[in-house]
Amino acid sequence: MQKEVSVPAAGSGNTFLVRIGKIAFNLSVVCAALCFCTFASFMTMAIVLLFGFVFIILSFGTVFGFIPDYFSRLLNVAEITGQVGNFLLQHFMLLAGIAIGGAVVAFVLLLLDKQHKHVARLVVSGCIVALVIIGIIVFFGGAA
Amino acid sequence: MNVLHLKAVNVPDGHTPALYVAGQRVNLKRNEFGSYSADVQTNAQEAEIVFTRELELRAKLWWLYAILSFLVSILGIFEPPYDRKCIVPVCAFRVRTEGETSVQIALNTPAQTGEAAAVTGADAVMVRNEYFVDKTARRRFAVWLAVKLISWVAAAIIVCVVLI
Repeated sequence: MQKEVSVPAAGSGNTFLVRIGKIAFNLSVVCAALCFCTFASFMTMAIVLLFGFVFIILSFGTVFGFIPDYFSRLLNVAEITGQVGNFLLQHFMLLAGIAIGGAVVAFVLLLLDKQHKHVARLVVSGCIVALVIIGIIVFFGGAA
Repeated sequence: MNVLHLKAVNVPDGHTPALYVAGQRVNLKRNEFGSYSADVQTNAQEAEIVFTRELELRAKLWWLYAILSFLVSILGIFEPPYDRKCIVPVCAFRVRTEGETSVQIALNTPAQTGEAAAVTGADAVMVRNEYFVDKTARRRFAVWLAVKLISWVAAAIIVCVVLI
């Protein structure tokens, strides 16, 4: 007959800090992605317009015969991507701040965890800080 | 002074090991190969060693930690999930400590039942050696999941009402 051994109620503040580190990492990844969508949405708009106009040229204008409101449709898509880009541009610094702050918090908290290795998260956090700082420089360079 | 060299191998990823010697928690160090080790000094002739794992949902203030992480992660969207299976290894044994004693605890693959580990390196008298499902943690997981889903539904309703 086995002696009853009570399992100690484990679970400490350290585990909670690691959880917060992972949450901060997830937040920083999403915000960094949104930061780069700021540039990407304008690129998307430019690409949509470019392809649209190229198609008009390649079809020698016959596209208007098949799709009478082709031009207005083309401009609508561009308008939507432009609105998304404007929204992201207005909140770019907020997103960049959250991305950098989250990455730094995640880096510190996950580095302090001695029980598990978080190599991938640490590397990605470092890259996020570097890339978002480059993005901020580009943003201010473009604004200037 | 007797020295116990303890080593735990094959600890599953995601499990946080917890080692107790004579009821006192011992700090485990992780090496580059994924094993955990600890050196314990003791004057006792015999030591009772308990190897188990930490479960976040077994903490005393689990509900506070859960609420805080739910809020910080924006309604749980960016939150890593808790362990759903709550399978806990318990390997409790007694070992004589004479001079330097090395003990290795090799964990088996986690399962809902069965032996938790194989102990080698010293004459260990096994007290308890099994995997079991922590029902308290499972119940708390179910509560956490239900509260999370209800919060999402409530948030969706509030957003729809505000937009309309």
